[in-house]
Amino acid sequence: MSLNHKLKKLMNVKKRELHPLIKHVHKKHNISKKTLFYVKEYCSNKNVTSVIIRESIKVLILASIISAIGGFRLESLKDKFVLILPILILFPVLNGMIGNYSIIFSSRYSTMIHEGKIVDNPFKCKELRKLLYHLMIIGVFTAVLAGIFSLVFAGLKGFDTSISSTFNVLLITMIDVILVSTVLFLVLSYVGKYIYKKKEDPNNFLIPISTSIADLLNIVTLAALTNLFFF
Amino acid sequence: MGLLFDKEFDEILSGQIIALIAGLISGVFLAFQTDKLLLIPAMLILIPGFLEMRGNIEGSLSSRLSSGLFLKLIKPKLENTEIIKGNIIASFVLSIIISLVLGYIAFIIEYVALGIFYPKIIVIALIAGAISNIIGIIFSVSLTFYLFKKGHDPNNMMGPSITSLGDIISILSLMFVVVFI
Repeated sequence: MSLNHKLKKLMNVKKRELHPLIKHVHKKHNISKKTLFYVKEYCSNKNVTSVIIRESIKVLILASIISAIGGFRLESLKDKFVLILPILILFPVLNGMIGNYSIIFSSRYSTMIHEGKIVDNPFKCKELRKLLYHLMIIGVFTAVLAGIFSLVFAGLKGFDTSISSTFNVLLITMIDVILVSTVLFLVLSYVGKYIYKKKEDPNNFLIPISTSIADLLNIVTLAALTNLFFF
Repeated sequence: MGLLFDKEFDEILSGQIIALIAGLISGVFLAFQTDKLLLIPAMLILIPGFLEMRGNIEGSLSSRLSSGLFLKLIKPKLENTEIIKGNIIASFVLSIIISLVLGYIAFIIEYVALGIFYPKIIVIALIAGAISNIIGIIFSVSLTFYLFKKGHDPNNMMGPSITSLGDIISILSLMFVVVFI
């Protein structure tokens, strides 16, 4: 069977099948498994659009539902929330920042799992601990910066930037980042290991779901802290 | 301590500073347009998912294109090939479906939990989703190809860029739709 014929056969293999042809073509023709996987997934003319939609739709809908739960918490506190302008400004900032941390953590952690660096307790891995230190230090530093800038912009719009409200905003920002990141990293560490044990690639699940969980945790924590410190 | 503040630390920090600036711009837009945007029923239920959709859909689009570019199955230019066309169409269709889902969820929660009947939120989500995704998809595809041509790995740089720019585009498109509907 020629290489072209083998590749065409591979394109018709069903999504969930780990076809022996991949191993065969990889060995015989020295084509990387990643290339062959890509050929199998996306190179069949009829497949590209439907494969992407089919594989993404469920996790995107799940992510939308999780985000809407967080949004509902915000909506129910709207009257209070719009009064504290720095928190309103901080909301997309913190959501974006914590979302980015969760993406970095998920993708790096997935790679560590694949490389066999995570054996038993994930936090015994030196590389993971270093990543956590990085994320925590940068998280607190950028949170304080975000808090200061939000106070400046809110002050321009007439928000009372007294010492106590400045202190409260900065404290809320720091507690939020530390608390949400810690919970998120703990959850993702164990979920990632569990998914790998189930013989699935943690990359495919951890990244989309981690941003939604980060959003939800951030909104709930931010709302609770705002309530606690301002009302 | 010296080992802790290495190149990796600098890369994460610089990405986060970009995200911080973009987030602040979106936050300021939100705060300064409170009367137009946030007082609309169900808007706060919609916004978190709406902001996140950009990263989820266009981040994956960029990641898939990057894999294709590195595997030499895609050329770094806008060609009418099945892979590029399929990726763009799929991302757009997904964004329309998810915008509708977000709009419906926001409408249902607002009606069931808070007793406010505001079906217009579905139309707002759909139109704003379509506008922001057209801009976002064009940006993602062009920047992925551009970065690859310049010898960079788009995987390392597209994540924060898409989420950051996506936040600004999303808030602006929501404001645009709210003002003109």
